[in-house]
Amino acid sequence: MTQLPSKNHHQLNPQKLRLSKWTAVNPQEKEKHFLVTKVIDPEQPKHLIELVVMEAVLTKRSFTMRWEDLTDATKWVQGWV
Amino acid sequence: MATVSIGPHLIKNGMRGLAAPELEHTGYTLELSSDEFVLNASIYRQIRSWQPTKILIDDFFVQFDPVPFRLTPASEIREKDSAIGALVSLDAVLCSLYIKHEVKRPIISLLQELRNDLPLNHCSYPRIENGSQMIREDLGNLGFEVVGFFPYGRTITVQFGWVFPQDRLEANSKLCLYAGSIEFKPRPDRTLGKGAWRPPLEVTVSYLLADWLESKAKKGVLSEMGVQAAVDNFKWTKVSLLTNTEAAKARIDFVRDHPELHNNHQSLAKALKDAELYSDTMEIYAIKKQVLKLIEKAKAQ
Repeated sequence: MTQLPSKNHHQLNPQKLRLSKWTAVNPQEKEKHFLVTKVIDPEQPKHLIELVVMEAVLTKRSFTMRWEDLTDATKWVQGWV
Repeated sequence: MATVSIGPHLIKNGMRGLAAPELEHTGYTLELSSDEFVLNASIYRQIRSWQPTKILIDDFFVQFDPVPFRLTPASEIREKDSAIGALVSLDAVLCSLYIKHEVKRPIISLLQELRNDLPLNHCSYPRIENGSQMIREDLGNLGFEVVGFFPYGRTITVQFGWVFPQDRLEANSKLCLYAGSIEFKPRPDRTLGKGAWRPPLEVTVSYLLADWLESKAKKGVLSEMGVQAAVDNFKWTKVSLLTNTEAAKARIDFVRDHPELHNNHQSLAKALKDAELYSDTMEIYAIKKQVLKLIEKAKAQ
């Protein structure tokens, strides 16, 4: 588990992120609430998980991002608020 | 696994008006019968107070209690409370039914009936001009079209829709159902690469449509026009035109050329991003984690 020290960072275990709910602090195009729909396995088993697929609840738009970006509390808040 | 041999289909129930605040009777009941269970559930429409005339497929709900089979775990996000009890979205129920049980009636036949009987008038991804020509012809003949492009960092996601048969020949009809997407990571030679399917979460009929599309698209999904449109919609930046090896070398060269930033990792990370040597979606903190190694390599060469 990666731990980032700042108070602006959440601590997360990437393996437990699937179906977790997230709220974008600065929503774009009315997309505010998201879910992690997939945790992408690394290409090599010895590598760490790097990417997750997010899906916007409203539009179902999906995109891949680094899971560690979710730890930035200035951009993402856990849960739907 | 049960076998559903009768339905699902819609039956008129004569119910009209409000069933609860912001919840309207549609006048239809969803019915089905299998060797293990039967379902008979009134269908309601959620009225969005801020957009009361906009009606999407996920605005239709049934009461949770009569649903006699287990829903997919993710369906809890499509449940809601109301004055008449707990509700769950109609398309979450249908998605779970078709995933978990053998249903004789094809989903597209049911969707065609829903389009006739329920007042759908809006969708997340309306049809786009030439969308039907951007997909392989055999997939287009099944009703699939390209409905959007979403460039994000080093990827471009091509989004698909499924058009109801009733709407296919209507030039002005923009209505369709989302049918999943493919995420491509374009290569420096301006080709799209293989792409990865990105099905929606298993809580909507969109999941079923995406699954069907993927099963039919083993030989690829986009037409020549679709490939070109995807390439044109991608944001080609400096880093996207470099191979991984070239990008790594360019970063080291940049770091070597800027010794004044070696003691300020934050500024160096920002400068690398500003120089388009990382994707625009890469956060500074993530670049910063690589900076020390880049400095070591720059000094070693």
